[in-house]
Amino acid sequence: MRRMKINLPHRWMLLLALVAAQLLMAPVVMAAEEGSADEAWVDDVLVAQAENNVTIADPLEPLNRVFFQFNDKLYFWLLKPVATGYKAVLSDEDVRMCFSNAFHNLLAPVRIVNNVLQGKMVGAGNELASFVINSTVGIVGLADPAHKEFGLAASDEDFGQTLGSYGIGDGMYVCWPFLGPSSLRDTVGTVGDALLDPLFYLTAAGESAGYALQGDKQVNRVSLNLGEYERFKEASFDPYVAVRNAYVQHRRSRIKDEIDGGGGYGVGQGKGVGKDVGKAPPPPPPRTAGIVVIDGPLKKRASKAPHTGSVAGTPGYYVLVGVYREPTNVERQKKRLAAAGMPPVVARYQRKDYSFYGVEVPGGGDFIAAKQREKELVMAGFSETLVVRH
Amino acid sequence: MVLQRMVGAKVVLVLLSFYLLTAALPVFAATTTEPMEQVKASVDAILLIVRENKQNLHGELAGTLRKQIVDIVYDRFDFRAMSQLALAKNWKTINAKEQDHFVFLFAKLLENTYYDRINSYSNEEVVFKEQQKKEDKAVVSSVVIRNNVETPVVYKLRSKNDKWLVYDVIIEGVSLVRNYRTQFDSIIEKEKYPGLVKRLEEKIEKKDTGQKPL
Repeated sequence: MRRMKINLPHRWMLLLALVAAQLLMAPVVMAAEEGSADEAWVDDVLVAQAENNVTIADPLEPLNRVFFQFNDKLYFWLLKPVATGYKAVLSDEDVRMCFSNAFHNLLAPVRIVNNVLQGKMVGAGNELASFVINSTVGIVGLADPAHKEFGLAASDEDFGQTLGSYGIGDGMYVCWPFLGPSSLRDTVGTVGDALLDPLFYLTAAGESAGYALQGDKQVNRVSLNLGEYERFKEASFDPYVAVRNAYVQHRRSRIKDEIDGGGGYGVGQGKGVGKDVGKAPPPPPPRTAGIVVIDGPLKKRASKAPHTGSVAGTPGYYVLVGVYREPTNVERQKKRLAAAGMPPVVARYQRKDYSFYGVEVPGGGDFIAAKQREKELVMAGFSETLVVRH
Repeated sequence: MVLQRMVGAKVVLVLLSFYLLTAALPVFAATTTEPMEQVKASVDAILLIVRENKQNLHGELAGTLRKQIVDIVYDRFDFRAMSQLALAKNWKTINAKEQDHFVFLFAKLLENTYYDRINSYSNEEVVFKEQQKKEDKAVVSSVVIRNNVETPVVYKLRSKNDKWLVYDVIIEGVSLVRNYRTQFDSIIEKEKYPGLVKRLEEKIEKKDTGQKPL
């Protein structure tokens, strides 16, 4: 007994010391980095992200925030307690998943029609086949053999996405009471989709079964995702802004079919990158690829056609003070800069299937000098700046 | 006494297995230069720890387990790049010391958030699908499957000294870095940069003292 009392702490210490030593040796990612090369890399990514910016107009923000608060309280005071009780009664998650499947199955007309409207015949076929299989073999949609057994890919399209794919923008952000985040376009979409939702007609006809099913649909959904909203809220600083941005990002990627089958995320710009399937990689293009510095007049609108031009202009650092598709906007920015005593050049950025103009002030061959130039520009009121190299 | 010995032996065994695991990790990671393999190695290592110690995640070993998992995360994420991207234009308006401080805070915040996720683990499967590579950038896509519901998770990576590091995570099309950027922008606009730091510190402190927000 006594030996053990003395021995055990020793073994402990030894092992703890070993573990501690191991942890200390683990590389610390936050160590100081090679300054300027890193900044140039980050700037590259920021330029790429600026090309497809994910912002939305929100002129109704004060009102939207009120409704956001309303929905927040609705969740914590009503939906969550009810869903928690519901979950306690229907403790088997599989059963609740079956209900979820059935509600999803009921909305098949929405998905089929919108696949057709977007010209996605394979998607429409898959959804139609899924609907038929799940409604029969899957017993009114409670099970999902179409996906599980037959391996049919889901193609989740709604009318908001259809409108988006036609080139209609978000309009503005709207946070509806009860319904939550949406945009003008997606509100129109939601109304359109409701016309294809059997539950909507049941409810509209004043059938009590309609209300009961609508209620169960919401409560069932919440019961399967309890804790998600709380965690999201906890990780954010301004939940309203976080939800708004998440909504816009999510909808954009749905419209572009980046999630649910379809394309996929590209590297960097999200465009023009082939799949990496084991073949020898092509030689890396020089950093200047696809950028043409223009001296002459601009085209009516930056073209969508691929362009392979040679690179003009002096190589070195440039301070980017705006990216535009419209020559008129380019001219306006040029005038502002000329008035501030810093005449810019215009660079044309060429991506695989589209291009845009960047208005840039030459920063010389020295990164530090370019940073100094950028500082002057910021002082002169040009806040959206980036130092780029080409 | 017998009980004490058994518990002691068990703890020693668990610690030993951790030691072996962390010792083996760098070797495994060094065997491949493919981004997907590298991310998968990290994710698998975390899942292994979580699955093996499910009942201990909140118990007396919680601290040790957390350290183990967090170390793997820090080894795979480039928190400095994430901070730069999240602050964007504001990054250049703060000095080097402030930058280092911000990286520390932002990493800590993401660590807390990530660990919350791990804590609520319930038999999710992670399936890695494909990778796209171009020069020093790569995109790895995966899905997290829970109850037959698939959540797409995409990692954006950059290569640094033959090692692929994550600089953004995109869940259901929502980029983490971009989402934080819009929030940081709106806070800085209203409360300036010191206000943002204050908010970050408060959030981390609240977590560390175990307070439940709202």
